Amino acid sequence: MVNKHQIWRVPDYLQLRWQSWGEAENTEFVVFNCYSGETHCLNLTAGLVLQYLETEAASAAALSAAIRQALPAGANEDALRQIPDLLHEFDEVGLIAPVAP
Amino acid sequence: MRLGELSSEEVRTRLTQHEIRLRVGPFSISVASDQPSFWPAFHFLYQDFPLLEDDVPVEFRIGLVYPPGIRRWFRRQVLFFLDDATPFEPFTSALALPFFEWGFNWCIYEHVYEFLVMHAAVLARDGKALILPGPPGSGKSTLCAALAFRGWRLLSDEFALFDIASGALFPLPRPVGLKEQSIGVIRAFASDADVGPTFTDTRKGTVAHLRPPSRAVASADEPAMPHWLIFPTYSRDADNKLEPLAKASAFALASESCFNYRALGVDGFSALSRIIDRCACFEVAFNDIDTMVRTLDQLATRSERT
Repeated sequence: MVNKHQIWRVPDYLQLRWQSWGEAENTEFVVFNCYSGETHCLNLTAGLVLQYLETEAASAAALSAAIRQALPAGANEDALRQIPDLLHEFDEVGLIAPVAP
Repeated sequence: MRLGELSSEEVRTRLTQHEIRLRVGPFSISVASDQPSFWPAFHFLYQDFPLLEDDVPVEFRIGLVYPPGIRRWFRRQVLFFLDDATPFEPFTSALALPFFEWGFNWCIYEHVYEFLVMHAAVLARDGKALILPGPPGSGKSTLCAALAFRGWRLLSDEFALFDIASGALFPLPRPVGLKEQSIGVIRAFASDADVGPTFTDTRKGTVAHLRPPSRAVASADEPAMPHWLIFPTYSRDADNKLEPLAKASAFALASESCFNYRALGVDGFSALSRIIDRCACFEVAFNDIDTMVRTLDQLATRSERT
């Protein structure tokens, strides 16, 4: 479990390439990590979280508020509760890194 | 000039004393062999392929020859050469033709990087390509062979070769490898199917090869654009119904079916993204070839109307 106050960001050296399909709550993402050569398939919430951290550093709490705003109407807000787990998984596969406060 | 225009004596002489250069899809290959079991099978299965002049450079120079020593005379074996390398343990001499086919496959999936190479059968109707990725045992070759005798143009039963920039599929029509029950299924399905010799006791069981339709070989320089991506699985209790597949899931499955997706890096990602973008994606569990052929025909017919 991640520290809820920890700030996270996608490191600049990763250079992510994005592809998405579907609309609104059915949007899915595929992201390619140019640094590792790994490809990841992401659901809507995971994609929005990673895209947010690509542009701005944020904690789990800040992300939850930001992603709630970004979710299209009809999207399941229960997914927001998974953000700490998502951050843990992103950290494990090297897509995000902690930022010093 | 095509290989089939040579007499069997000319084929034997060239293979044993020199080489035969052929155009096979986008590749030029050279073949030499001192294996009597190989000559007639190769002549039959590759009869429609164009011969190349001796000064045409080749991507793959393949040799199928006896090993030195006693194995040339006793329990005869055959070695597969790519240039001067012997990447495999020898096979029994009687299996020279399947050894050639498997070795040629290896040449492609180990050495080709100018295409995104997917393990898939590919057919086309009206320039629209149907891609059927699948591991051995998925039924893709059987389905592919059946479709090739029902109005679909065979591009390949083994490799989808995608141009990295455009996504266009380059044909690689070669003999279709059939295993075990599939041999009888295709013989019953298409009475005009030309199936070569049957080889028993191979590492893949009993195998035989379907000669690619002449029209497929004649169209080997006509690419097709990806249109349908369907992941088949043979299953006894299947319902033979196409189930739509989300594109991100299709991407994940398709990338796992590629031999060089990771090696191509971001170029592979971009190419596969464009391919998935273009394709309607499905998965299907099937157990009946006739039903599947009808289903895929209907899919193509609906596409013609739209």
